[in-house]
Amino acid sequence: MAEQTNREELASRYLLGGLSENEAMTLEEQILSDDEVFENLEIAEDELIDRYVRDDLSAEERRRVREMIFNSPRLAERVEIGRILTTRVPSQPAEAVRAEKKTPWWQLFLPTPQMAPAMRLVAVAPLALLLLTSVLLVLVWTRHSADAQRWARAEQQLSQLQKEIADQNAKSSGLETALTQTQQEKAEQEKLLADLQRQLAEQRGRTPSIFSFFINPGVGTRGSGDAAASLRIPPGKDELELQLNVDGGDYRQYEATLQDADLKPILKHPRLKPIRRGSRNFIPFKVAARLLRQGSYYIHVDGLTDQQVRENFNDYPFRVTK
Amino acid sequence: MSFNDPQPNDLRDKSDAKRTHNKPKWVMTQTAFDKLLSCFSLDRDEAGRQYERTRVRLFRVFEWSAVGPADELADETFNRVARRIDEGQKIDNPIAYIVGVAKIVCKEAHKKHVPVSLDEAPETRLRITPEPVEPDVRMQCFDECLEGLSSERRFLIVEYYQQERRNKIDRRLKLAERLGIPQNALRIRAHRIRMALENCITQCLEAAAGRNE
Repeated sequence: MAEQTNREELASRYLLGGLSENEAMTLEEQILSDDEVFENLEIAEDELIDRYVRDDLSAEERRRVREMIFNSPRLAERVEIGRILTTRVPSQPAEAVRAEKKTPWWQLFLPTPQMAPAMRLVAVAPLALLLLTSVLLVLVWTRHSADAQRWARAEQQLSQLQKEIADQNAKSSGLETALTQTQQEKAEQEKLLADLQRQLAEQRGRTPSIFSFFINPGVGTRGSGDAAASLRIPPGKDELELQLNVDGGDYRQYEATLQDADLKPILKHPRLKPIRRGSRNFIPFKVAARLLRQGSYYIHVDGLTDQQVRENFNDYPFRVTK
Repeated sequence: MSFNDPQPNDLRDKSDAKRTHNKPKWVMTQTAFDKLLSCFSLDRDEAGRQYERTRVRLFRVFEWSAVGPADELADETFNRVARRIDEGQKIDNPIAYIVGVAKIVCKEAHKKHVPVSLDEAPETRLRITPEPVEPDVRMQCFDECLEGLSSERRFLIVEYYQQERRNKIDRRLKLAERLGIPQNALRIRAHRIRMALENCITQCLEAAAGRNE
């Protein structure tokens, strides 16, 4: 502060011709080489002009300034402007001047050039705070938005998964139903199979195939019954196969008719082919067991020629006993 | 000053001697000017900038010495320096050398200076700057240029030049406090605004004079 005052005083004394030759030369070297010193002299010149136009100088100082002005049109012009400055400016209230131009609202947040660096920091603090808050808000909003989107996506995925699960459940339920149905069907089929097997077994047990009985042709007359073969039908047999001996015949087909004791036809097989088994040649005559009751029966056999002409061949009497 | 500083006797105006021996006055040549520039810097552009800056400041020094037309005295100083350099003088510190020569030129001018009665003399004998074409043109320019300043700069310059004497000092102290800056910074700031204002007014007056010619 004191140094500055000394510089100001030195500059003022220099302008008023108050320095020694050496002091002046030293200062002039600085004026030519040092920007700060030169500007300090210019400021001293401002203040000297102000004092001049305000008539604030001694007679000797005033004479000195007049000499300078006399030799310098620039200084003369500065004095004119200085006069206006001193007369014109005080008539304009500074606050009014300041209020003339409306400051845009956003400039309220900005530091003015007149402010000291520290004050600029203070002035810029609300703007910085506002910016920081805005940035934070944007960040929070962005994050919230991202979270919301993620939530929405997750909910959508969850919903989709639930739907898929429901579908799967439905399918599973359907499958279960189908499985149950299939199992039921399977059980039923198994039951049916078991029944069939049981029935088959029962049938097998009940009809151990066919009951065969070999009968030779009768040697006696019909109805005598002496030479008739006697047979006993085992219980549970549904069918009898009477194997009629046709060793003496050479027909390719036979016609056999079952007759009761009164020669009343019961069953007729029109075309029976003879079967050779070992040394025997016979024709199988199948008859339901239920058709045969206790009593005497005859099977009349005719041989069929190639021209399908019936020729009497043999009778096969037999007796059924219970 | 260094050993290269000019000696007063060597640098005195030899006009009397010239007249006696009928020698022509030395004039600046391109070669001499180039040598002068090379004293400031080997870089031509930088040398030009330093020369201009030095010339402007030397001009001010002569203005403040109040012994004669500053531009003529500044030119005379550079001519003498250039001549010495052209003649082979080695200069290590051109600024100190120029100041030394300027001091001699100043003394010579002071001797020739014929005092005038400043009470009767006009404020300036050289009116190169535009004359106001109407009594209030300068004031109009002032108002226009003041209006053209930014509100902050306008506020500062108006506030800075409010009131007088004691009130002014107090007011400037408060203004510096209000702006949170030292007083010297306020002085500098006010000075720069004032220079900008004055440049604007000068241009405004030149434009006004041009319209009236």
